[in-house]
Amino acid sequence: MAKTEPYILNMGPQHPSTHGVLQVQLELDGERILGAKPVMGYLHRGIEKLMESRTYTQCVPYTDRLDYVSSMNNNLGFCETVEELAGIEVPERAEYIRVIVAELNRIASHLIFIGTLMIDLGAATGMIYAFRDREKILDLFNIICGARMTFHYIRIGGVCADAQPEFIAETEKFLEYVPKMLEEYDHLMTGNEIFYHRLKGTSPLTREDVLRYSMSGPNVRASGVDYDIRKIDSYSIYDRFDFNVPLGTNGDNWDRYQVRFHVHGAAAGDELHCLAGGFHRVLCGQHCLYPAGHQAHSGLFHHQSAGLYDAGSGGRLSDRFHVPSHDPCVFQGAAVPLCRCCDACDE
Amino acid sequence: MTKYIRKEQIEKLQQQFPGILYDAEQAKPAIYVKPEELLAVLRYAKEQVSFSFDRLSNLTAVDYKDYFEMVYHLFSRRYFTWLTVKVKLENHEAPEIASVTSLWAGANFEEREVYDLMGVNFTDHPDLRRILMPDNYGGHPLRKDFEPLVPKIEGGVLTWQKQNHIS
Amino acid sequence: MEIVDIVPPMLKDNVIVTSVDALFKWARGNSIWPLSSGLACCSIEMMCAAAARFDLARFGYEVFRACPRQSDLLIVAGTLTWKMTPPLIRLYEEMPEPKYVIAMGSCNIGGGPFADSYSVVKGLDEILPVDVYIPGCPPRPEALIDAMIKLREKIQHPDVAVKVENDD
Repeated sequence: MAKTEPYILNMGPQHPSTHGVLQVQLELDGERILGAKPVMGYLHRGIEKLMESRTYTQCVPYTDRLDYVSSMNNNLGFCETVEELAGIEVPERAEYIRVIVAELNRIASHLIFIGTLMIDLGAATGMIYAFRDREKILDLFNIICGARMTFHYIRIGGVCADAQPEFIAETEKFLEYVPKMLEEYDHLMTGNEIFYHRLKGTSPLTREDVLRYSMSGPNVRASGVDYDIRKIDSYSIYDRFDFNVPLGTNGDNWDRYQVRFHVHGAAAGDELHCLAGGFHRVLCGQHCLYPAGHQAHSGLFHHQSAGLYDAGSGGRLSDRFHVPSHDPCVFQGAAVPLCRCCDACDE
Repeated sequence: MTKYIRKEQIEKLQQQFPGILYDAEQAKPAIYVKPEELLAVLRYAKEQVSFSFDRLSNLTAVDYKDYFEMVYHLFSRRYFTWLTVKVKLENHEAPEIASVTSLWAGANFEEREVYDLMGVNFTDHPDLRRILMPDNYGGHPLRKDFEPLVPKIEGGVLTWQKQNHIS
Repeated sequence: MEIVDIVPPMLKDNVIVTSVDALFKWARGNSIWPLSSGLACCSIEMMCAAAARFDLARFGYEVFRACPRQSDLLIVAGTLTWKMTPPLIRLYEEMPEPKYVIAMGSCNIGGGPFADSYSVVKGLDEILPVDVYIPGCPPRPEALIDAMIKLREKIQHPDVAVKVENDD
């Protein structure tokens, strides 16, 4: 009599859908996923150890490369941690610039999410749309700091250089374009039956799962848990802005997509508030000595909250620097095995 | 806006677990817990309604050359407060502490990371093995006395050797 | 007598006379199929190079294959760690000849900002033979396009690449 048995299929570390190196050992019954074990470490570069032998200002470029799609947010998290430890006050204008560039970077990284989501589900042209719009944001970053990706723009004590008038003018133009852009993606994706059937009901995560696994970011909000560090902890000057936090209901892939999609609108709203503020120029000392102490700080990287923990014993270097989620979602990686009993995509 | 746990609350914890120490001078003092009391303290902090620290935000270790220090950051979504819990592990050669995966399943990977990079052994961990470094790596990179191993790749197989010191 | 001299004058404008070798090199150079093996930050710039603004498709290089058996160029984009080395070597060995390797980014030239790390390979040429190196952290998509054009030159005119023999 014919019988079937489950088999183990290795996905990665090189795989077009992993977008980076992640190996997932899938236990499959035909096309149904029974179990998924992630294997990480293929991009473990030892950044925490390297940071122990660099001065605080030299550490900032390393934070760019932690989560390279949202470099500004990483820089911001690190700089805020060190500023809290050392009691450095950031000028108001610099705070506004930081929030502007951090939110622009959030939009850019969520555009990568949309583009790669589309290409993973089979719509290859979708990636072209998303990257076209991402290039507009990278042009803005090019104006403000000269770099396209790993910016090293937000520094300890403020920002690298003041925002130029062209940057402000171009950002305003871009923000007028954002609603049209979102409408286009909405039209392409949200109403699309194929995406709907592929995403709705797949890999649901319940509220309890999300809390048990200490998850954060849009994945948490997709499961209906109202946890947005920008509202709860209000690092930098986020408490001055009024924005909505979109929440999902089922915690499936569809909700995770919707939550990230609607974040765009919220981020753009912040920008408009910021542009009304005033600006200053800031410089920070390279070789200043930082007091001893321990500082933990929480910030919202583009897809998860990541705190930075710094234990310094005084001096120019820190004794121990820890980024809790520096590898692709360490906490959320533990939740990958929960994505079972769902049909694997056919790519 | 979140805030650190109030001193009165720390005192309440101290009444329940007299072994807890903290520096009253600091604005945001971390509480130092004995290794054998860790699980009990964390469970109490998580399940007691007046504390409700239901989210484990961070789990890491620091190597202070003579001893290790485990650091746990807890967050209460009900009261929007933070708490830092530290545990001093005196045995520097073979540090050991209870695993908190029974309270928070997400600590699984973080504890594996601490085991991999620092060499701290977590008792009762469901699957304690290396996570970031290759499985055949012999060493714990984030320790202060760590010497990098020399990799060798032959026939597509990666092996590690100790460094040769020319003296 | 050269074959080119016996072609009648009226056909000279309509007939190309070449060698099979040159024809194959021309074909290979204009239709390089890269393997999508992005490791880290440089892979995002690689994706941007394939996207609308920088457009690798103009050169015939937009077909990023997922499987090494269907590709002939391995662009190693991003930091290479020792843990990733066995899979990468396996990918390289699965690619059919003729195959080429581009080392993208300063991490693949000499370790980059992570050169003194315990887990990073100090340069891709420690494990694979590299054809073109692209400096930058990350290199702009135009730099990647420039590298692929240099690779095309190398394929079509192998004499431009001077091989340095190691005297062991």
